Amino acid sequence: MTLGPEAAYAATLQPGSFFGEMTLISGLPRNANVTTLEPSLMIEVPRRAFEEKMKKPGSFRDTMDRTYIERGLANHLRVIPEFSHFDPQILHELAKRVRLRIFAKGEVIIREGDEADSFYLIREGYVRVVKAMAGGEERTVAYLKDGSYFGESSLLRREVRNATVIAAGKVEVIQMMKEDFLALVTHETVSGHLLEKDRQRHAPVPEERSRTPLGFVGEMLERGLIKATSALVIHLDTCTRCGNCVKACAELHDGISRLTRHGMRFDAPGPGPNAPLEPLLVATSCMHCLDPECMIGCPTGAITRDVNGEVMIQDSCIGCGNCARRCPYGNISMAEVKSQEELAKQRTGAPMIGGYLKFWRTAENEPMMHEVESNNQKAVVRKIAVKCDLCHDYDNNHGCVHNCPYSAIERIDAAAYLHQIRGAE
Amino acid sequence: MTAGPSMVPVRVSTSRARSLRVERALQIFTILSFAALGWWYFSSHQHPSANGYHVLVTALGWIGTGLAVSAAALSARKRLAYQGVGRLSAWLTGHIYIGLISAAAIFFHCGLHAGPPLTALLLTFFLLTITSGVLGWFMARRIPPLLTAMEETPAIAEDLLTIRADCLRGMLELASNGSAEFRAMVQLRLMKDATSWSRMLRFYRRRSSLAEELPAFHRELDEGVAHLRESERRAFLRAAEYALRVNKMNAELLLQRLMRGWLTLHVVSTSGMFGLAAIHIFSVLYF
Repeated sequence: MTLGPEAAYAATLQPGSFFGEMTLISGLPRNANVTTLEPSLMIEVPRRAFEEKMKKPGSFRDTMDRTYIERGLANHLRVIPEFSHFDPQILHELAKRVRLRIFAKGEVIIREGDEADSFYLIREGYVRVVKAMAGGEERTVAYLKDGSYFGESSLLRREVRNATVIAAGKVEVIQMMKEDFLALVTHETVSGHLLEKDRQRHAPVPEERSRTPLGFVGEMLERGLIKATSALVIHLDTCTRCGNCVKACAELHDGISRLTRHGMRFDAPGPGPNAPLEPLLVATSCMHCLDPECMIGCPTGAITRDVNGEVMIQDSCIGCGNCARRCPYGNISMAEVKSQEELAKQRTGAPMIGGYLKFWRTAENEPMMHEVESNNQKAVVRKIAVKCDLCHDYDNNHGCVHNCPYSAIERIDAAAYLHQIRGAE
Repeated sequence: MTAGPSMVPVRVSTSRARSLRVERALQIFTILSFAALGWWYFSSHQHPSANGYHVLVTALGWIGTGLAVSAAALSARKRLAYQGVGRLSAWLTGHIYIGLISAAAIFFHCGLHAGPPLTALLLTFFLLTITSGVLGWFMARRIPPLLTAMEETPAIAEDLLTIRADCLRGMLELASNGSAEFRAMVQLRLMKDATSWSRMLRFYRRRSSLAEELPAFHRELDEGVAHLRESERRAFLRAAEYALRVNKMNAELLLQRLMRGWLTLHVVSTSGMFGLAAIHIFSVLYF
């Protein structure tokens, strides 16, 4: 088993071991490659079957949960620079002592003024750091994302908590108790890193840095955009409302557009430090979330993630509409499966020449049936779930982006975009 | 397995930055082309000879025509939504700058000498094409920010027409359920407001949205509806909201039509220009 793009060795699994459970539990893309070293016999458990088993209490669920925590902690500690120099055995021991805690959106993780009893590493999600100002007013001073940590300052300085940290969405944190933390900081590398970070955090904020658009970051977090790995963004001050994006999308996808120009509006900071705010529209189009809710409960497992992490709907969709109901952004719609002639009619405004001459119903002019082979039962559906597939069949050259005459539309990874505008530390 | 940073490649779009770079390069190329054409033209005039002048003018004519035809290839690209033919924005940028170089070449070819009726007409169509193109370029930069300030959500003209029809229907429904006086007030006052140019101009001038304009409009109407029954007064204010929305839809529609309207003029004048240019070339070559 190897991790990351550098294919760093992680483990060798023996007969009786299992892998692949973490992505099924968290919904996040796979981040490990598993290669066979010799001919191996494996049992593949489909997502649906796994989810069914996890619903019932028992040894299967307990084992999976325990393994999830242990492997998650070990992997996480390995990628944080402060801990990466440790011997894997020490990390393994540490992983046994720390706790994995999950907080819901809005829950307070630590409160300003409380006694400091532990150190936290963010494993997944974002947190908001709030400080009380002179007038009693609370102000957001930073957002921290996965890979960051907090709570070390008051432990190192032996003071009470100097800020409140609130979960900005669902957050998974690793909690390390005070004794373990203090034992760890005696290690030269860790203490050096932590003290430097502590010094940076307490340094006065330079003028340029204070322009960090925290309001915008907060809005992105509040509205769930932060999960998007490929959000379709329209620059409203450049868009001439010609509708070319929608038309191109329909043209490339059997006459059904997978985007509508409605959605969340943001005033984003411009590229330069003094640039004015730029109005953006996040169009209704699949954002290819990091943890897609639509994947949960698909009865045929038709929603999958491809090797690039993109969320795709496969041909085994039976049109139940579960994913469309689950998508929090309304980006999946149910569309009728159309015949080639209907599509041609939609495109050209008139049927093909042969269509005028056909007065009888044949297999050719019968509305196309979408056949699904699932669990050995053949079903015929007239509706299927459709959503943006990032123009998968066209080499991922997005039709909407390619056909905008004014470059007003683009696809962004929200977290990377935030990083670009220096909104999150 | 999953933990920490995932293996999903980070996607931050670079399309806008790339198109800006392309545009910058084309701007430099256009300036250099203007300079080269100008230098050629003026240096030829310093040592005039009948033969040299003829070669210069003919060459400039052919260069201008060739570039104009290349610029017109945008029309073919617009009809291809499929991939593999480049970004439409890159084509449009190319169209603009190639069109400008072509205009410079044609200007050096003929100057502003109208000549006989055919060339005078050709020159008129040429100027119309250039003017409409520049107008379109200007509007594509000026109108979207104005629309953004006014609209609640971006909508194309077809959507606006539907919303406007719904609002008019809503207003008429409210009127049909009221008294004769109420109907008359809706007809005389609100219908006038719905189509009022001055109110439309106010949307443009203030760059305001409906939510910003509505309270002021209600205040304007308050005095006139004081004598109505409470239920009718409420209905009238609802109808007023419909009327103001109709007016705003008209304001947005006008801007959208302006952004499309210039294209009709541009396409028609370009077609005319090419037709006349073909006749002009034929007459020069064979007569």
